[in-house]
Amino acid sequence: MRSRDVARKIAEDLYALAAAEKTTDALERELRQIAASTDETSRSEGRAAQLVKTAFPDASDGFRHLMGLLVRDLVLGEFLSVRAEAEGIARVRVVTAQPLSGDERKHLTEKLEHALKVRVKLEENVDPAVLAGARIEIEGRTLDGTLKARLDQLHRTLGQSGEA
Amino acid sequence: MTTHKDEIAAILKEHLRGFRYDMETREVGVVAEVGDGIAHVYGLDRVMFSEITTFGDDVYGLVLNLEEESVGVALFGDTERVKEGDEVRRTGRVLETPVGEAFLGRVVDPLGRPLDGNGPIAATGRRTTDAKAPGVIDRQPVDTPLQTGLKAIDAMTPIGRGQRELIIGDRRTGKTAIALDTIINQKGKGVYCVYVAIGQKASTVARIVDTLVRHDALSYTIVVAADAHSPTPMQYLAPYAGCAMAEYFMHRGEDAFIVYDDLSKHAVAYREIALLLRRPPGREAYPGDIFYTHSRLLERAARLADRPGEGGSGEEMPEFENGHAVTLPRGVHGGSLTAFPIIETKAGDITSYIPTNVISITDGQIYLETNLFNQGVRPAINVGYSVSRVGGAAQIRAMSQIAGELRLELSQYRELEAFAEFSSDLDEESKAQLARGDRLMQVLGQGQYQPMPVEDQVLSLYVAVKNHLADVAVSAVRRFEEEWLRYLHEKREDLVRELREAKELTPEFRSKLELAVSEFKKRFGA
Repeated sequence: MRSRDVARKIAEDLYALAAAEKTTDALERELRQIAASTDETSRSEGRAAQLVKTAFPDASDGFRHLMGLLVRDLVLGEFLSVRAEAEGIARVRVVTAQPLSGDERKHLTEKLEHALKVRVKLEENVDPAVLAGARIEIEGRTLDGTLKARLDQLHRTLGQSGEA
Repeated sequence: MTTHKDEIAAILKEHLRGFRYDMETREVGVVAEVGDGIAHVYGLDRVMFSEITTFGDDVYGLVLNLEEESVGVALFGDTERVKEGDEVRRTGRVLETPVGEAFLGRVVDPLGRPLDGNGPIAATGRRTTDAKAPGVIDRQPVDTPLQTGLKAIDAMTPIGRGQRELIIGDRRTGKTAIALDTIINQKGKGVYCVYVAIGQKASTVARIVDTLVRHDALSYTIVVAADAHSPTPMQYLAPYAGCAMAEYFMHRGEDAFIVYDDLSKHAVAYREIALLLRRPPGREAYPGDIFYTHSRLLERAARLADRPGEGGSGEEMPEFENGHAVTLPRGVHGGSLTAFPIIETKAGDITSYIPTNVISITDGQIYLETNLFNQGVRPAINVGYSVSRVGGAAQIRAMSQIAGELRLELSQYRELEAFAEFSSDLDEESKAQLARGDRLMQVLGQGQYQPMPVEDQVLSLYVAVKNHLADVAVSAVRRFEEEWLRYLHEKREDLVRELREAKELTPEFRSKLELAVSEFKKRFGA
C-alpha cells in the first residue's frame, strides 16, 4: 500500500477519535508541532527513514514506518484534508512573497468564500521566490497570479519563438 | 554598443508582439509513486484518458489509467528526474505526433524528435497519435496493387494498397528482409514508406537505415525508432506515432506503406506497462485489451474513398479537428495506407496468443519457415500457409492469369512431395510433376534487395508454368531465368513494353512469347 494511503487511514481514525472526544483542535496543534520540528530536507522518504532509524534504533518496523509518516508530514496533510471534508471547509493554500496583511487576508477569504460557496480556511505560505503577487491552490487547481509565473510564461514564449 | 542593445530590444519586441498575460489557471496533481517509467499521481480529478501531463519542463506523461483515487501515467523523457511529491500539470490535450514531408529521410523517436543528428525537423502539422480509423463510408475496396517486387508474394499472396498483411515467422527467417525489399521496390512509385522499429537492437536499426540509404530508399521513408533501450512507454507509442505520420500522406490523397517491426515486442511492452499499472493480467499475463491495442492500430490502414466533385488541386489539406480529418478536400483521389505488421513466433508456433490475434485482424499472412530458410529457399515463404484475403482483386490481369496455373501446380507438387518422401517407386507422371515443382520453387526464389518489376515477374514465371524448364537442370534454373530476362530486355524490349502496357496475356502475345522462348532456348543451349 502506498504511504499516502496508509497516512490517509491513520488520519481518518485519528480524526474520528478526536471528533468523538472534541479534541480536534488540540490534535491538529500537536501534529503541527511535529511538522514544525522538521525541515524541508528531512521530508524526503530516504532522509526521513534515516532520521527515524537514528532516533529509534531498536524500534519495530511498524513503529518506524508510523514515525516516518509523521516526520514526512503525510499524516498532518491527510488529517487537515479529512477534517476540512468532514467540516465542509475548503482548504486554500496561498503562496505570497510577503506575509498577508490582516485586510488582505480578510478580503481574500471573503472573495474565495463568495466564489466557492463554502467556508474557506486559508493556509498561508511565504515564498520569496514568487517575487510578487499570489498563487492560490484549491483542491488540485492552481490560480497563479505571481510575477514568477508571468516571467516563466514570458520565458516559454521567447523560447518557442526562438525555436521557430 | 547602443546599436547592439537596440537590436536586442527590437528582436525581443518582435517576439513579444501579441504576448498577453492572463492569470494562469492550471489543474495539478502530486506524484505519489514513481518507477519503471510509470507514475501514480494523486489529484488531477478531471484529467482525460490519453491526456498529456507535464512533470516540469522536459518530462511528459500519458494518462493510461483512471482510478478512484489516483491516475496511472506512462512517462516520456528524462524520467529519472521525477520524484515523489512533484507537481504534475494537466495540458488538456491528448497526445499528438508532428507530421509532414520534412520527416521523410529522417530517423525519429516516437515523439518526432530527430535521432539522426541532422538538425531540427519543421513539421507541417500535428495529428492525434491514437487517431480513430476511417469509417465505412470513408473507405473503398482495395483495387490497386502494391508491388513488393518479390515473385513469391506478388504472384501467390498479392498485396493491394490499403491492405494489412502480416509477416509471421521465427527469428532469422527473413521477415524484415521482405519488408525492406518492399520499401526498396517503392522507389519512383509515389508510395511514402514508414518503418517502425519497436524494441529492436540499436545496431539492427542502424543496419536497416544503412540498407535504405545504400538502396536510395531513405529519401521517401521515415524511420520511427524506439529501440530496446528506450523506455517501455516509447516502445508502446512507436507504432501509433508512425501510423500518424503515414496517415498524413493518406489523408492528402497519396499512398503510404508502413511496417511495424515487430508487434510481438509491442505486445510485450504493453504487457509491461499494464502490469506496472496494476491492471489484471489475462492469458500469458497480457492485459485484457491486447487485442484492441493491435486491432485499432491496424484498422487505421485503409484505402480511402475518392472524393468526387469540383475543385481540389490535390494540394489542399483536409480540415482537422482534434487531429481527425473532418472534411476532406473534394476532387481528391482517395489515398491509402498499406500495413505490414510483423510477428515473431517461437518454434514456428502460429497458434499462440499474439500470433492468432494478429492473424485474425489482418487481411492475410505471409508465413516464413525456418526449415525452408535452412534449405536455402529465399524468401523462405511457406506458400501453403500464406494467404492474401483481398489482394487478388488488386493483381494485374497478366499476373493473375499466371498465378492461377502456378497455384494449382504448386499444390499438386506439395501433395506429391509429401508422398514421395515415403516411396521411391514413382510413376513417370509423378516424377515429371515433381521435377516441374522443383523448378517452380527455384523460379520463385529471389535474392535479397533485388526486387523485380511486375512484368519481369510474369515473364519469369511464364517459362516455369508453361514447362519450358523441363530440359533445364534444377541447378541451372536461376541462371536460365537471369539470362532469359536479360535477353528480353536487350533483344525483345518490345515484348516487355507490350506486357507493361497491356497488363494482360492475350493469345497473340502468348504466341509471340512462345516464339521468343524457343529462340532464347536455342541460344541458352548453345
